[in-house]
Amino acid sequence: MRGAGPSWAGLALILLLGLSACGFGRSGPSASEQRAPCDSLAAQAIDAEDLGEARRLAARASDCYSGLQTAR
Amino acid sequence: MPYPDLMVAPMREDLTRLGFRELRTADDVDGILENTADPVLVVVNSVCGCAAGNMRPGVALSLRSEVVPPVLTTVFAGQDTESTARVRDYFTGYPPSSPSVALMKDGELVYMLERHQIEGRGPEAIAEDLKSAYQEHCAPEAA
Repeated sequence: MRGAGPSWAGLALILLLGLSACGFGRSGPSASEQRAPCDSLAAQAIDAEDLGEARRLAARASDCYSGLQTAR
Repeated sequence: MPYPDLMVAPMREDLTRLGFRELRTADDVDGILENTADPVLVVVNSVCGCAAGNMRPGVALSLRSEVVPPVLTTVFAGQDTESTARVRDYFTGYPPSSPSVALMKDGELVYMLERHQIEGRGPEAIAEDLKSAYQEHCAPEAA
């Protein structure tokens, strides 16, 4: 019997909203999410008290950023 | 459109933890640059991923040398729009560039590290450039 339940269009809309809420269709992590580990290394480099440690962490951060650019 | 403050805050703190004073208004900029005879470092901070990500630790490493600018300031491009526009008025002869690092003395630009000199380079190389500038413009004999 027509009209007793939700229409196909309504069902499709509900399904679409549900999938959107779950993040379905996203192409992957955002640029800032991808960069977060590199930013964390850079921040650690800035905070490091020991100069050698600061240099090592800064180099790791730099490599991390380079890796992101290569991956693009 | 500016990025959310929450996203930008850690990038600001990377510099403020080092003692950088944030310049948020044009008056802040004029107040410092017009009234400070000592060399003033102005870091134009930026969200711009890899360049800014290498610039901030590069600046931090550069400040571990014996000769450093006595006054450290920063504006955030794309966020602090008024103060960023104002510092760029002082960067005569240079197009807008972020991230970038400028060294000012008596209200005049004496050294500029532009984005194209930051991109593709690691923090150590950036720090070496800055240390050379400090040595040239901030050492006692340069006063």
